Amino acid sequence: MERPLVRLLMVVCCLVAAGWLAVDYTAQADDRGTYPSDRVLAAEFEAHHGEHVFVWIDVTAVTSDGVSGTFGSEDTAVTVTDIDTGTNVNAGDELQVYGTARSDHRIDAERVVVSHGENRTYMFVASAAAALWALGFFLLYWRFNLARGVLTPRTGGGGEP
Amino acid sequence: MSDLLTHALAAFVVATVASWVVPWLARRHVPLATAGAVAPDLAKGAFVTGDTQATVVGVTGSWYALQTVGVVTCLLVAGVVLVERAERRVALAALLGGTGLHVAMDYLVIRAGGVAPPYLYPLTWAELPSLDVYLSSSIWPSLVALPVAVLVWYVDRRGLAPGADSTAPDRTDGDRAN
Repeated sequence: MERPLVRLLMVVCCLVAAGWLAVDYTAQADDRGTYPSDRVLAAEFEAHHGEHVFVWIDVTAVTSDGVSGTFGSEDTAVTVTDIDTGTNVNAGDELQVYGTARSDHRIDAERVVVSHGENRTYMFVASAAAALWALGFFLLYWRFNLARGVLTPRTGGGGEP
Repeated sequence: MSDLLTHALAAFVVATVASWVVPWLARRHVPLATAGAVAPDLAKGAFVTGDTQATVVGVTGSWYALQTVGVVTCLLVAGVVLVERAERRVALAALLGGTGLHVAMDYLVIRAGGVAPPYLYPLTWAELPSLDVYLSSSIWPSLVALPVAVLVWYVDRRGLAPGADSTAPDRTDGDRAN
C-alpha cells in the first residue's frame, strides 16, 4: 500500500512541473508566435507598421470609416479598414482580424471572421452547463474515499449506476 | 476551442463507443474521458479575470498555457495519483484520450490568421494550420453532438451495442472491467 506522503509528494511534483511549464510558456510565447501578441502590439503598435498582425477585437462601433474596437487586456483601441461591405458585423460582436498594421492604430484587413454576440452568449452558457454536467457525470461513477484519500469507483458489488 | 459542451459530448461519444470494443475500458471510465476533455478549458479562466495572464505569489503565468498538452498532462497525472491504484492506468488513458480529442478538435476552429496556438507545447512551439471548420461560438457543432450523444447513450443503456448482451440492459461493470 502506498504511503499518503509519497502520493502527496507525487501530486506536488506534478503541480510544480505544471507551474514551471506555464511560466516557461508565458516567458517565451510572445517571441515564438507567428504574429505579435496582443500584449506586444498594445505596447508598441506603431513599431509594427507594415507587418502582418492577427488580433481578436471587441467591436464597439461600425462606421463608414471602418470597424472600431478594442483588443488586449488594456482595451487598446484600433480601427479596422478594408472590410468587405457585405460583412455582417455589429457592436458587441467579436472580430478576428488578419491584416496589415498601420501607424495610426489602424489595421488594413485581409481576412476577418465575425463571432456574433448572441452566439458568444450561447457559447458561455453551453460551456457552463457542460462543466456542471461533466462534474455530475463524474460524481455519478466516482466518489472520494476520505479514509483512504483516494477516488474510488461507485461500483459496489460490480453494478454500475 | 469549440464550446465546452461539444468537447464534453464528443468525449462521451468516443469513450462510450470505445468501451464497447475495448475490453479494459468500462462505463465508469467514460466520465474520466469527459473530464479529460474539459481540462484544457481551464484556460477559459482568462475570460473570468479579463487578462490572459495571472500572477500568483509573484510568479506570472499565462492562462493559455493550461490548454497545452504539457501543462494539462501534468495536471492529469496529479489527478490520477488520487485515483485508486488498480484504476490508475485506465484512468490515465481515459483522461489523456479526452484531452487529446479536445486538442484535435481545437485544430478545426476557424482562425483568421490561419494558424492555431502552440497546443503541443512543450513538444513543439509549432503553430499548426487551423482547419477552419467551425467557430468557437458556432452553435451547430453542439446541435450535432447532442443527438449523437443521446443516441449513443440510448444504444449503450439498452445493450444494443455490438457485442453487448441485449438481455442485460443494465450491464454490469464486471464484464468490462480491467
